[in-house]
Amino acid sequence: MDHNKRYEICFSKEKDLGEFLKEAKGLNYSSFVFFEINDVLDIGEIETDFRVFKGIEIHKKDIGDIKSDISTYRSKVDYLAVKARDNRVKEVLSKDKRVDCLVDCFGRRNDFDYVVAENCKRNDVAIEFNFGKLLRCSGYERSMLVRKFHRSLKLVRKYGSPLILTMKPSTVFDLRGFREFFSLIKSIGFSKEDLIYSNNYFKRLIERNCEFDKDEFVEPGIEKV
Amino acid sequence: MRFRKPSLEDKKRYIGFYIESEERLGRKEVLNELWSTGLSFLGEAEMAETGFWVHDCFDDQLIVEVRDGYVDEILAVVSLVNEIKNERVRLDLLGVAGTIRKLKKSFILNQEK
Repeated sequence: MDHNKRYEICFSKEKDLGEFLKEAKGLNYSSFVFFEINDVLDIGEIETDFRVFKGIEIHKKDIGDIKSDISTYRSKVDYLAVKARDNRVKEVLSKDKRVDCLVDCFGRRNDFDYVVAENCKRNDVAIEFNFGKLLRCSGYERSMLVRKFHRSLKLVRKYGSPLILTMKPSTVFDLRGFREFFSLIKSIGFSKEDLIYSNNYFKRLIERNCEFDKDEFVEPGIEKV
Repeated sequence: MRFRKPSLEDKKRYIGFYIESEERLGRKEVLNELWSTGLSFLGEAEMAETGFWVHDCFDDQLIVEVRDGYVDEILAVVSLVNEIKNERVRLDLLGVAGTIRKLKKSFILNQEK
């Protein structure tokens, strides 16, 4: 993956994904993950130069429901993220290797703590930093969000947890070019290394998940010949 | 009247943007939104420091003048703009140059949109 090209995780609000991808052409993207909440999206066949993957975001409160959804959907998608606002949920999910990413970790009261950060590093679960939220708020709310980003970034850097940086666009107007996105994250305190690390991590994650879907795959390092 | 030597003047950078929106927006609306987002995100002091100035706004294009070294701050502000007068909008970066002539020659006249 070119360092000046990045991935994007999109919420599939847009009906015509082909149009969406056409619009994204000049903005230095390499791959897209389209996801649906609590459901698997049928992407169909799209003619595009981008690599397109399908994902799911699980939004449930009960840990049992989340676990059963993970078992159901893991083999059907390339990217599985779980909304983890509750501290208990966060702690349990950060130990689950089937989860690719924890979404919405920075709630109003509950913070992202060192236990979760350490578990995430150990089990290869990424933490999502959604910069698209900055577009949808202003003033006090935006300032609090930036503060949460700062505090969480400190922990992520200290424990070396994987991170995913995204704008999470739902329409073409939420997409941002590489340079604009980099300037935005830089102004908040993220570095170019964070962005490159995030890009490389995402590439590795998707490749690993695609490998798991193959019929020949038995276990990491073992496959049928 | 004494003028400042050209070497003592602040160096400037010109940034070109393409305005992507469903409906055509007026110059005043774009300007107001950029200023208000800039003031709320960077604050008055830093906004003054950046030397932000909308140089030109024609058709779907926008040329912004900033002091050298503050391009990233202005790009961050611009990337936060996503709605003007209840109209969804996106400002795409065309390029950054040291002179308007170069900006127009390299990015604005050559763009295929």
